[in-house]
Amino acid sequence: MNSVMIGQYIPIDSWLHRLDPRSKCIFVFCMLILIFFANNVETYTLLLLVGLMGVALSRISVLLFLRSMKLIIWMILFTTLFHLIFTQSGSIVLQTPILTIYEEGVRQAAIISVRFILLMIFASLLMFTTSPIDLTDGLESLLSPLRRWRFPAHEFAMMMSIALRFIPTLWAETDKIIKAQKARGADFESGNVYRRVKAYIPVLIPLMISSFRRAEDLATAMEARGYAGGVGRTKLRVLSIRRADILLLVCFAIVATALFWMRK
Amino acid sequence: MQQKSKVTKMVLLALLGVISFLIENISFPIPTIPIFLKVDFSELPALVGAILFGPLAGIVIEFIKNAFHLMFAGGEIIGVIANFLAGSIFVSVISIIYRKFQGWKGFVYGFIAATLMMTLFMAMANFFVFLPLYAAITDPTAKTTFILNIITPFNLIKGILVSIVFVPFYLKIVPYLRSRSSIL
Repeated sequence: MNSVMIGQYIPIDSWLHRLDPRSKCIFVFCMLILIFFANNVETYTLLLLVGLMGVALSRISVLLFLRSMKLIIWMILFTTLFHLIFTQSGSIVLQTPILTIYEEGVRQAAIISVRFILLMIFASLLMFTTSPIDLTDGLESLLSPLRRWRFPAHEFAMMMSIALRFIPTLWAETDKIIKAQKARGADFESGNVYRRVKAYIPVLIPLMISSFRRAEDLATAMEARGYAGGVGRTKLRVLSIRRADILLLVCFAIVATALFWMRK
Repeated sequence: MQQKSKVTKMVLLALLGVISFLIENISFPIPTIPIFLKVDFSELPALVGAILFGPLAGIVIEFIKNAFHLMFAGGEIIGVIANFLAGSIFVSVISIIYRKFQGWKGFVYGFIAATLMMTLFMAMANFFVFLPLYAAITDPTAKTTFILNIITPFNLIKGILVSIVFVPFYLKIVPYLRSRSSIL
């Protein structure tokens, strides 16, 4: 749980950290889509090189990126196994009495593993170098054109910011309630799934009720300070697009062109 | 007064999103299903929100939960998108049906419909989008095997477990909510 509370963001200074969150979001989003267009060794190598360049530019230890791979290791192993067993075309690579492995299966398994890793690298790059607050600000700004179709971009970002601010508070409260129930003899660690889940209901109910109370208090406090939605509200930190941001998007254009030229 | 209830609702949805995110970290693997699919009860706060304020509120809570999951727990992005889709469908179907038939009937019909809809939708989404794109499983028989043996039972079990836990949970919350007229 503690690792969750600290989050993914690594607060150091680097070229990637200084970029505008909006351009990083757009870049990573487009890269994630681009990954699905890669279909041969050259294109995957190109994307891996771009990813590694990103890792180098972020000045974040490679170990942290490797650690985030732990999340997908089971998925990689499982899909690899699935492909080795079920993909049956191409020439035979290995034949044993119980299992025959085909060339196509090995190829597919390799492609998928690289794809999983690439998706993870690019998503981690964004999360490691952008603080949640910046991400929320960037999201609000990116979504604000949708206001024309009555999409409540400001309210949306406001909810995200309030939620961010309350993660530690509510976590401390959950912890307190869990301890209080333990002191009364509650057992959270043993029994089957249904049992363990049932044990959490007496934690959830007080947590919900105190949140309802908190919500009312905070709403009153916001009203009392004159909060009236996004219209006319000014910001402490104004996002600005700089030369580096344009450079990042130019880089993406070059990578995308190269990829479409190299793919089969 | 109108404005006040709007701000309260906004803050409340944000807090329910946080609770949902916190609960998500207490997850359980299910026997016989690969470890990367885990059941958690983060749908409960989203359901409370959706029943009080409508399907969109439930979807907002699901969004906050999944966005935080990406920001704090790690960027396994396709799984997060799948979780968001499944949760949003589950929560909004229950909300729509519960608002049509109030009371017990609404819950029973809602949970049955929502579990089936979520299972069906996730089977389709996996068949047409996630499996071919993400895991490059394109062979129809392989896809069907995967979906019938792993995805479908997972979503069914998840739907049923969440439904069973939600009823006692909601019954305890309702009397409290009735006493707080500023929220409802």
